[in-house]
Amino acid sequence: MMAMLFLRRLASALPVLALVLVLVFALARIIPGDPAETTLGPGATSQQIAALRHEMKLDQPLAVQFTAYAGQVLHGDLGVSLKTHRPLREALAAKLPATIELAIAATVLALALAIPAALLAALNPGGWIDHALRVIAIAGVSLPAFLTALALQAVLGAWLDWLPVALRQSPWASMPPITGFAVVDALLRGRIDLLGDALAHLLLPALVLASFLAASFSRLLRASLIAVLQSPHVRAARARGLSRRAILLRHTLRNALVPTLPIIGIQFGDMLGGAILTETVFSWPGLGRLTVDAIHNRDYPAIQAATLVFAAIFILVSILIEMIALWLDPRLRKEGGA
Amino acid sequence: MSGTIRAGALLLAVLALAALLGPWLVSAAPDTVSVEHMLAAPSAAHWLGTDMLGRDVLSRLVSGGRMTLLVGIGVVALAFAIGVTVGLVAGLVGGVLDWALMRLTDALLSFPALVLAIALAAAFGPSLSHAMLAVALGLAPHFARLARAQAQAVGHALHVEAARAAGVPPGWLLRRYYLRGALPTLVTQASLSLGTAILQVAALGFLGLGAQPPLAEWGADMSASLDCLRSAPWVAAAPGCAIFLAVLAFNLMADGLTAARDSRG
Amino acid sequence: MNRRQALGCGLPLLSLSACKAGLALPRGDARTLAIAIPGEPAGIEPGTNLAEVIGSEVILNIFDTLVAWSSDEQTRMEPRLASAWQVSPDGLSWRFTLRPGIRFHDGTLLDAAAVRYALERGIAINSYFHATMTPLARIATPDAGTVEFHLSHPVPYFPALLAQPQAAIVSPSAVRARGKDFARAPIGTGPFRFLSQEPDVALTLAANPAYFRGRAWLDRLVYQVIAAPSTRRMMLEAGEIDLCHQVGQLAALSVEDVSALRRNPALRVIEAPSQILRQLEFNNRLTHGPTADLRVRQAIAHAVDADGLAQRIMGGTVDRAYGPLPTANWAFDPAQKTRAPAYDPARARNLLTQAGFAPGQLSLDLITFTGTLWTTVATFLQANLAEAGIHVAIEQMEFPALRARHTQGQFALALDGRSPWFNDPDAHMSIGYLSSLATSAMTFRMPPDAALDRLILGAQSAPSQDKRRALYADLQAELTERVPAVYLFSNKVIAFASARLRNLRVGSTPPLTEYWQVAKA
Repeated sequence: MMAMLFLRRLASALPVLALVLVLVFALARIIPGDPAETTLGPGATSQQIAALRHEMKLDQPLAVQFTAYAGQVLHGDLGVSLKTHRPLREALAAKLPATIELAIAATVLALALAIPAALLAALNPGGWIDHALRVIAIAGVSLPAFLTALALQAVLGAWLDWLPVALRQSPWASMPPITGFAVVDALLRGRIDLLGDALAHLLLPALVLASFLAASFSRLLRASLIAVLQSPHVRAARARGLSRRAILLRHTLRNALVPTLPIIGIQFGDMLGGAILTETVFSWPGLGRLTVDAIHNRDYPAIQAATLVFAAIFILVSILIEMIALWLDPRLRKEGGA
Repeated sequence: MSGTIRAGALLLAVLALAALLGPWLVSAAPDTVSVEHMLAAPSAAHWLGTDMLGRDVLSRLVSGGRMTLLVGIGVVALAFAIGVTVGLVAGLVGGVLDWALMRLTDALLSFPALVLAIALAAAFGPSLSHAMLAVALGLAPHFARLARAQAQAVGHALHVEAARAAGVPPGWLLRRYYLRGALPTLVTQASLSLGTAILQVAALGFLGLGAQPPLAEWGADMSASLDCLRSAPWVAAAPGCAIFLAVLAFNLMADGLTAARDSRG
Repeated sequence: MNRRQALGCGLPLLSLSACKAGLALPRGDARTLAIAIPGEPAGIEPGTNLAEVIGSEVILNIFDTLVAWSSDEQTRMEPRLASAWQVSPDGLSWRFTLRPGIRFHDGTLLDAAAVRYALERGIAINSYFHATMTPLARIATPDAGTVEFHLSHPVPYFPALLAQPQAAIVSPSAVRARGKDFARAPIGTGPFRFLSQEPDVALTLAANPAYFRGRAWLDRLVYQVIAAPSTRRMMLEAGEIDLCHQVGQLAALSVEDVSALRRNPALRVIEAPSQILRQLEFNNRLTHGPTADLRVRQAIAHAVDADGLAQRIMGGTVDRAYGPLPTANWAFDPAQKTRAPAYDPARARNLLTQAGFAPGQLSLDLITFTGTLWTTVATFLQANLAEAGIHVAIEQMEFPALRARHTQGQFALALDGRSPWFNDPDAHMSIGYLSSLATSAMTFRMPPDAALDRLILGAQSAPSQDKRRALYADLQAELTERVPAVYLFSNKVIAFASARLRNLRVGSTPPLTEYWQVAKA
């Protein structure tokens, strides 16, 4: 049942994915300058340029070029970097786990911060906790990610020296990667010192990303919780004499989470954008850093590939979140999805 | 919660006033290089000190502020125009056009906002106007979605159907029913988007894709002053706090407006 | 407490304690040296190295050259892979005797054939090396321990050419086995061998236990990529990295930063003069336009406050330049200090009026690179020239674009620099000022001038150093009169190192720093 819904949802995402591909392709063609000339450099002869253009199929009609490009992407060939002259697939495969690890850690942190905050606020709507949390949340959403990153890095990292200032792991801890996820690799190797090192380096950047997510999520969850708390079946449970805590945990939270999830999907996209800025400040070797370096190097194939991967991740995560919503609230399944 | 609206509006008014009247209040021009006074701490002559080229930080802040506010309004206006047009057309015409436009909107929404802005700005070349266009294209889908939903809701209302059957010209219908019905939601979305727009333009400036030197822009100034963060933190802190306060003002107002609308409806 | 609650409490506690454990346990970094670099190192093998700064240093530690600059001062050559060398009386043939028994990291033996293979390969695939080795006619290998170089004309400083990073000796068997992929796992004879490279993260080298001069003290050398200068500083102060350089294109730290680092007892600031030159240069092949007039060029030279730039804007992190040779070069003529145009805005305005330009009438375009350093200097120069009544518009671009504009001559004013490829005054002079080479690379584009060319070539091949010094003094005077550029400053090589490091010597003219003898207390 769930599998069918998943497949159907995936199918409806296909036209969107196709359009994303078209947009990314169009982006590359907008860029001024001839890609063949840029690749060969200023010393190239016109014959060399013509030869490379033919090889890159730049002399074919756009439709043919696009089909070729789409075919390449579907085979996993994301092009070659102009700077390193190596396949982008390698660079992306190396950097992607870093960003995903950061995103997951940020989500976990955000949930850990937001859910208790929202619960506290919802239990006493209009109280001082509610007001205080509201102000904090609005402030949290107003802070630019790079400012938070710089501030936390300067205070917690440099001034107080509680946490490492940057990077993903200490120089002594650099080991050939197993899965690409530092935490998982440390566990697989059974080394507590590596695990501690990885977690310590993960904490600050994850905190920066989590702040935005936690702020907006706590507001949404609070509103949703209040609505659910006032619903008939909760009132019935109270009448039956169930304790407040039991009501909260078992009945309310699950139902309140569901309507907030689609917004989480959108916020996740914003968080990915924030990852770009955070990774720059913390020198985190992930997808965001790759994008920024590609911009500075005018490495257009890399920008293209990174954009594509970002969009694909975002679509997949949106589908995933919808699946979680369906799992949490069986009622939605009968309607065929949210 | 009119308190929030009032707080936001007050903050906004202070900022706008400072931006408008600023140039007459500050002592130096934002581009005056002064070798003698590089990275000077805040003092009576320079209220917020000077940056790495001896330029007055406060005047750059104020000049950047005018730029930021204008840019924010410009971006949102552009996004509004594009998005509402697309959304209304999709909602009113329906059918295949609706399906196609909505898939395009979904595709645009699939790019995390900053990523889309980066890709476009990198493609067109780094400049403030390209950054504005890029951010506007990223915000437009939200307006499109809202406008379409409103168009459909209003379109099915009885009195509108009656008017249409009676032969009222479509232009008049548009103005009287659709826009007026949709306006409150759209305005709330616009105020929400202002904060986002400012954040994104600042982010692009921070990455070097927005305003180019020697233009004073908060994000670009922050990025340029990172090297002297330890010895002269005020050079980066001033534009950073300014971004925060401006976005805070817009978010407070948006929050208040949303709460007011929810408690009414 | 039910199971779920227990798990909920336990997980955070577990991760927190793991964090503390990671931070508290003795770290395996006692024999690891962590160096912070601003970007991914390129050119880490001699065949692909185009004078990239970090790549050159990596080569120095993975490979060896036949001879090298002695680490004490940069004016003496010492034997390295070669144990002795001599030159024939006519100066056309050099004979190097190799040390026996040296092996590459892959175990193969270093012999004359390997040296010949490596150098011929470099000449074939490396355009920089090809350009500097034009005097070489052929390489002969009379026996396994001797290499002979036959030149087309005498080059008194020929060993200096063999000390360049591009002249390092690679393992022929490794090159034959890996082909184009050799750069991903380079094999040499050096004190460290290549261990791993994570793109944009770190490049790791491990000690070579069989190094012919003795095993290095360190176990590991890690080049950590950290893009932001402020982050590098923070990590240095936090002790997370041991060393970072400030050289070449990097942004200049403010005076407060450098003095703050000097006051920090846990850190040491090491300075060395370099031969990198930064200048405001004219397109000397323009036959029309304002800058073709010598008086305009002189006016611009007098309008620039070079001392203010060096001392205040650059905060003492650079040495003032007075002419075509930097002060750190042995052929620098001290008389240049008085010969160089002094800062005199009144005289500049005067000269402009003589040339027919009223104040504010002259408008010029300046091209330069992107980056904080160049922006700062360009903005300062813009302000200087504005005072003299010249309006300057700045256009910044990336290196490939600027090089294209430069070699095609599509500019009037350019702010850029050059670093000599090898340690000899000729490295500044021939590539820079020979009219025959004017459009081949980023040169000063000197117009055809037989007398000047003769002077340059004469100084290049004069037999004794004293004779050469006299000829270079003449050259400096000649060039100063023509004002092909306004010479600004030379970056100092500055290294910020943990005070625990021992035997660290920072070299200036490439190659940079050897880590063979470095130890950590």
